[in-house]
Amino acid sequence: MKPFEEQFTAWVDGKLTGSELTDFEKELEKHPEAAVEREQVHSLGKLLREFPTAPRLANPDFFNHQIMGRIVVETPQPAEKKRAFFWSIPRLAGAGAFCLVVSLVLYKTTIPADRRAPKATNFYAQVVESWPKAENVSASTYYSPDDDVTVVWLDGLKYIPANYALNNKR
Amino acid sequence: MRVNELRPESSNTVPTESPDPAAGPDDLELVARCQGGDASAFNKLVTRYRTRAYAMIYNMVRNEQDAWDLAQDGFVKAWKSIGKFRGQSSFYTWLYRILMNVTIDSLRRKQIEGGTEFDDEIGLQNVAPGAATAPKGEMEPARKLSDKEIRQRIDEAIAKLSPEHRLAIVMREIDGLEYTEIAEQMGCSLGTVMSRLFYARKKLQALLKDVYETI
Amino acid sequence: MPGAMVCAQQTPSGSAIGKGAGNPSGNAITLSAPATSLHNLKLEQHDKIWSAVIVATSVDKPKEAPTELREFVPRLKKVFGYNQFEIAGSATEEIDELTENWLLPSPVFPLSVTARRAVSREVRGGYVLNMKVFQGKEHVVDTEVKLAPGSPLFIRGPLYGKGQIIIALRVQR
Repeated sequence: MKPFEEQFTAWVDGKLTGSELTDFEKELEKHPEAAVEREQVHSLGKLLREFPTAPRLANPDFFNHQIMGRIVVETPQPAEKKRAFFWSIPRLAGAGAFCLVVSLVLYKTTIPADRRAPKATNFYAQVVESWPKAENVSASTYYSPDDDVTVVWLDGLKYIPANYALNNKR
Repeated sequence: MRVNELRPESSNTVPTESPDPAAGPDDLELVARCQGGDASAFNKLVTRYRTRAYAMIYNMVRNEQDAWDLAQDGFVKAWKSIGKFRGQSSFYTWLYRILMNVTIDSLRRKQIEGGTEFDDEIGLQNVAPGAATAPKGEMEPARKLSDKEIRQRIDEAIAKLSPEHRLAIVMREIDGLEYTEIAEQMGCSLGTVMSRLFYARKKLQALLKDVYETI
Repeated sequence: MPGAMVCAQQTPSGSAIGKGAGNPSGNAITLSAPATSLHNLKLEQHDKIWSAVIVATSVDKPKEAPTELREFVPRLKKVFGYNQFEIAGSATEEIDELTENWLLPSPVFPLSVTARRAVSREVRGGYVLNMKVFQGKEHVVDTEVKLAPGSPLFIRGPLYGKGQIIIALRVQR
């Protein structure tokens, strides 16, 4: 036999049937307040459904942006299909040499000399290591050499409500 | 969209939905494109379900940053598994399960790290079915509460539940899942689900009785 | 730090910052530093470290970013996704090598920075910074970074209202 709280929950949610229902309702005759209790559980459920408390997703576009960024990084690139009958070693070597020649010709003829130098940047910001010191806080490093950006990315910090003054000097 | 619109109409009670046709291609078409490697189709699915996914996870974890991160993890996991989606349920039903797994795993990890074992009956020993659910001295005088106050009270009350109780009550009352589905998601027996619901409701009744009795 | 003894104090409001100044609890402290001549102390030009607490939000009509941020805005937009960046507070302090420098761009985010000159060429005479980041009185993270002059470092802080706090640091020569 199920413990009382299980039967009571099933009864409140209308999940008891047949003899289980009859037996339990007979048992409840000793507890006339059970009907009131059931109404209260229903009122509680209605309250929870009518007043969702989750905040709106702030900055939804960035939410997508981050996911798509992760997908690009975390999705393994499909491996090249084997074409064993065609790509013998001599053919591969020949194709490699041909590509090299074509690339050199294109490089010399199409790219102006002043653009051939690698992007000169004075940017240097490197995170050597981070050690989280608070419970639930984690730290990682985001670095994008193309954009000259280095970020110590902290997660798990406490949310600050908008009405909280960040600078009491103002 | 109100959360209770997600409540089930059929026997499959994991939240389902039929996307607005005006909103573009339907889910299955987008899923098929994703399965062909089209990430932009997945971006559309993220846009379609991000608000709901975030709200659902927030209800479980009660922390905006955690909800953000877990929703992200869930969507990335969905992308990685999209090849396994066979269309036997709606896309959102399938996604919901992934999001829920990610959330439950995270809550479990936190519990393990915190070293706390959960006691279903903590603080609620020997509760009779008709026992008073709120000490009378703690009840506020009857007055009409604003929507904001009500939401705040609910938020505070749910935050006081243990993760297991919170999961059970959110899945049942807000997301409208059946006991079997909750048991499957939480990896526990039906009896445990019912027991958790019993104690979670008791605690919420104690904390919110004055709210639902005055609105 | 050249010279003999440096005495630094934090003001009662906790808003003043300085070389070796106090800690979040605001205690006055006295520090001794390696001795060099007083003459050098007066002539030496110290590099400075600029720090700012930025509030990033997404709005329909974004305001123009303050001058100090303008060069960073495209990267901030790309990395964090918001479209409006405002400075909630900033602080600039002279770098006193091997001494704990306290920066208070906002009282909510005190930063303790201990700097030493980097030896590697790529840092271009910049610094290795050992930083302690606080949120209020809570010590949230320690980090060691190498910063060349002019290269900013950003720290992703907590969510703030519907936006995001970002802390920026830059060595100025």
